Amino acid sequence: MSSSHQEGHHPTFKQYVWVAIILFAITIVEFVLIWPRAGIVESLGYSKLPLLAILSAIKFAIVIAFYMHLKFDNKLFTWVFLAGLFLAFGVSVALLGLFTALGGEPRAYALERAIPYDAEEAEHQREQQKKKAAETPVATIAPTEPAPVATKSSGTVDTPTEAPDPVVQPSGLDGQEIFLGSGGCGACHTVDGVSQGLVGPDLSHLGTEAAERKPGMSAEDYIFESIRDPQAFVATGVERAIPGIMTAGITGGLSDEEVQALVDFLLAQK
Amino acid sequence: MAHAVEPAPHAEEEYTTTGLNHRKLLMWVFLGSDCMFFGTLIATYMVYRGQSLNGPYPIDIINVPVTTISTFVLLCSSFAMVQALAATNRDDQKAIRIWLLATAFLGAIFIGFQIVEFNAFKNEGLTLGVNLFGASFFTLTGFHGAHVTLGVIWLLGMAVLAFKGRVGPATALDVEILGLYWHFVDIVWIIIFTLLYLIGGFDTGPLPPSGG
Amino acid sequence: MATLTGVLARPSGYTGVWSWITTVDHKRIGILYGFTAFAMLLIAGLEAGVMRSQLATADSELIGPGVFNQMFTMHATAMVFNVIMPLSASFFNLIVPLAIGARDVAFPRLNALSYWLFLFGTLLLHAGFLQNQAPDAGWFSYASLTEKPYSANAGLDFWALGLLVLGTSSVAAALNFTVTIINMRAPGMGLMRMPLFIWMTLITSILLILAFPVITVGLIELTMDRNFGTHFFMPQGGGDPLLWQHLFWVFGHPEVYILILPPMGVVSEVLPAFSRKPLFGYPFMVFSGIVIGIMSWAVWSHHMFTTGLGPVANSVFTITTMLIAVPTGVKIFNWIGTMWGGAIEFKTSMLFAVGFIALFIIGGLSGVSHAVAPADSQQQDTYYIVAHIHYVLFGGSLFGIFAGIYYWGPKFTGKMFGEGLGKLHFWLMFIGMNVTFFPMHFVGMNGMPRRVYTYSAESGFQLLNSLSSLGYIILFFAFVVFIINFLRSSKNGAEAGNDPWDAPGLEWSISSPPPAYNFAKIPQVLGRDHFWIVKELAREAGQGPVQAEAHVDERTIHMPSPSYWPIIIAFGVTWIAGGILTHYALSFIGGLIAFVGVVGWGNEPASAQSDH
Repeated sequence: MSSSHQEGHHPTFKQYVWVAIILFAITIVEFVLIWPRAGIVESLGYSKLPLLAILSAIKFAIVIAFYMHLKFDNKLFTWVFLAGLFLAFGVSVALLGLFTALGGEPRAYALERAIPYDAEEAEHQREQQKKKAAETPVATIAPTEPAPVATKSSGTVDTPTEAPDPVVQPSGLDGQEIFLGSGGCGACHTVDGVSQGLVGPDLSHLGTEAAERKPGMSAEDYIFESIRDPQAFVATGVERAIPGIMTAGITGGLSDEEVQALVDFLLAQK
Repeated sequence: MAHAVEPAPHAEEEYTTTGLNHRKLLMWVFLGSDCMFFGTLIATYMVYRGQSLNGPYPIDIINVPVTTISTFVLLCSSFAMVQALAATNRDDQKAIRIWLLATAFLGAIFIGFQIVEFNAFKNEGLTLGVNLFGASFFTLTGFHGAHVTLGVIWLLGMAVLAFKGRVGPATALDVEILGLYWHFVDIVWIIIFTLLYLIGGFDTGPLPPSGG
Repeated sequence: MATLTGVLARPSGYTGVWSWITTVDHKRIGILYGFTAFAMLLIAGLEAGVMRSQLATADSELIGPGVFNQMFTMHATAMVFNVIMPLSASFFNLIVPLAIGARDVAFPRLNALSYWLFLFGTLLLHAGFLQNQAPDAGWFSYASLTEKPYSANAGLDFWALGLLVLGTSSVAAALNFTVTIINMRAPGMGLMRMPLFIWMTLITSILLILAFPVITVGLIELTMDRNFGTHFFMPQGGGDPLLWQHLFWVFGHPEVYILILPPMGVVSEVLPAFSRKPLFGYPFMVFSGIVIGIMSWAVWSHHMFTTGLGPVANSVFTITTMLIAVPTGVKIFNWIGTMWGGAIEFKTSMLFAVGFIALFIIGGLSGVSHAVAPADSQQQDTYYIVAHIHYVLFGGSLFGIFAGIYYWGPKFTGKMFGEGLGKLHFWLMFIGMNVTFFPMHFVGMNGMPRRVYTYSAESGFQLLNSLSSLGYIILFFAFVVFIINFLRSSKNGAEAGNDPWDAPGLEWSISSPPPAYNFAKIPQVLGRDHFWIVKELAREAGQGPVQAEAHVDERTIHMPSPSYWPIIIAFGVTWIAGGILTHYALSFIGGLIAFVGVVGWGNEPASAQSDH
């Protein structure tokens, strides 16, 4: 006994074909509505979103009702599915509201820091990426090098500078990787082309500046000491060199080889 | 699940309170749960729309015409699935095999489109880590693609059973349940296509303040 | 793939370790859940003991901050996911089929899979201890602390991946019980005749299947941030740490109702039995449970009042949170109404049920005070909240669970628990609980923050903290008494008989312990409190006391056969998660194992031919 005989009516072949045709037709209509070259989308304005939502909702509904047979099946299935659907919809809407409309201004952070969009620049970036990808095939969409983080200078559009060549250690450790990864330095310190930090001195030119920071100490030793014991000497006259923020012991989890890798990386920032 | 085309004893004829089959009810309840799963992923995408700090932005990357074609492919596969179930109900063994294979084939084509598309995006600089668009886009479409892939594997398994003559009216429930899963994956794609491609596909980054 | 299932013969025995590993019998699975969860209760309780030792004195150097952080994280995570939830699952397994007149759940192998996923997920969650890298960011693990580089070791990966596996276990079980309750009730048991525990199980199961996907996504996004370079919750990449909080609490608030509704169901069973009266206001109890389930989705941001959501959001969530206290209050009045005018018998189980009501009221009152957003800005992240949590979860959920253990324990062991030791257990636990947690209200209002490993002598917190630590010792002895009682009674307790309490449920009409097939003949249910009706009819007809249903030859009733596929699949799935921590190759192998398991399961009929 097949339990599908318990339900009532089954759609016929012709009805299934009609459903398919309607699905295709609605999809074509949606495509034409938004395709810039068709010229309709500008005149839609704000009605674009509800219009597309309704059209897609129709597609959604007829697949569920006819292909998934919900129209002809026991109402319990409908209730069970709609419970999940409405809840998902409600939670999504509530989250969107909390993030955009209800105060707290969570979007202000992004708006402040993002670079303004320039279509030509974006095109140029894409071409460069394609060229690079053609040369060095990468197996995964997970990043193998740090993301190009924007550097923003007042008013003008800046292209992110190329990340510096990695300084390879005899230990095989990559200082830049540690700077951004387990060392956690990139969260606070800025290095051009590598990281955009929130506090802490800009280290983009530490290679040339370090020798002058602490009298009597070589650049390498100074950097090493600053990493291991940040409060031993706080530079004066350097922007955002604030005593106490980089706490003593914060780098306790790094081995000496890792700190050496960091030192060599920072020395290379001329 | 039954071995032979004859229903297993004590299985389908068991008394149930509602008269509905356990496994079919299970699949519908599971789909309700899966709605929440995809709903949360979609909510993440919607919350982070326009929040990326740097490009590439959707308008640079998204290719609506190509994805419209892959959407058609998936809609066709739903039609094929429905035909497979109808063939099972009328015990048309040849049609069962053809339509099951067709559904699996169309699903595989869809996955093929996704792989080619994602590769192109990656080559143009969109990775998981480059910005929020990359993260939310790949996570959402990646999990959808994983659902489709599992469905294709299930379909191929069902096709193997069909070639052994073990799919027929007595086991139509198995095909029906597979169909429910497959159509669900299709309707999730309808939502993703609308939000990420038709609506979100033309998002740019923040525009320069007017007046320069 | 006949050769696959033929390689290793399908298990058929019911004795020995292999029979427990391959069992699909809901009663055995319930016992497995119960013992595993109880072991975790002891472990998490010891973690609490470590914390109380450290906090007993000001400026203590007993435990360093790193270890302390691991303690509070794992104590809470284990208590929620490895103790209360599986103890509830243990009850679902043991009671649901019996109470609805079924022979097993709808999907016995899925049931076994849920247990093995729970066990392996728990092991994965705790595996970090082996490398001194237990999770240490609090049980709700707020971003950005949980991101690398702020949490550089693997602890939080163990946390996220362990919870992902535990989530699949919970969802599988919830799907199973939803279908079982909707579709396997005995003839005559309409929805409004179901025992209230079954109603609470149904609502809890629906909450589970809808809530877990949300945290699954959150955990996936956290894992991707930590391991695959995304920035979902990292401001450096544009992400918002608040999104993690939202995703967590959209799950987290229904989760706390998942923790409390089953014990409320237990109390709703125990009170009528020991008041010799039907549950007062049954329809109100059902509908208040449904309303709580629905409203639990509308209150989550009350955990986030101090995160800057803005006045509109704070006001909305204040109102919804205060409203959800209403159906809870309805339940409390109905419980009191049940006892009112009844012939109350204070067996241990009843003591725990009444204790539940008293302690849950206190926890609920502090909860309502949190609901008011301005007041919450003083209370948030202080010990005042810790007090609330423990009154509702310890005084609430755990007391309810113990009420159930003492009530239904004799059904499954066949022996009565000692009443003397039981009452001693209750009083030690009741007094100990209040001595431990009541002072926390005051110390919290005076400003002691949560999750701090020590406090200064000048703060004035010393006295009340010492009191709390003293209370812990009382609680410790309470658990010792319980274990002694349980072990002694299981060996030497008096025979329980099928109906020691003269109770109303279907489960009391069969022997203690029940036979493998539960009911020789599926009963025709006559109404709510069916077995009371049966006994009343027998009394009126002048027949003697109603006996347990007679046993029949087990071989005449076909039951689902044991299977080794569930444990194999659980093993594979755990390795999919574990591989992300170690080598991706292991994930792939785990996936293959799980795939082979699924194919094998699919080709295996629910019961072997030889069992007919």
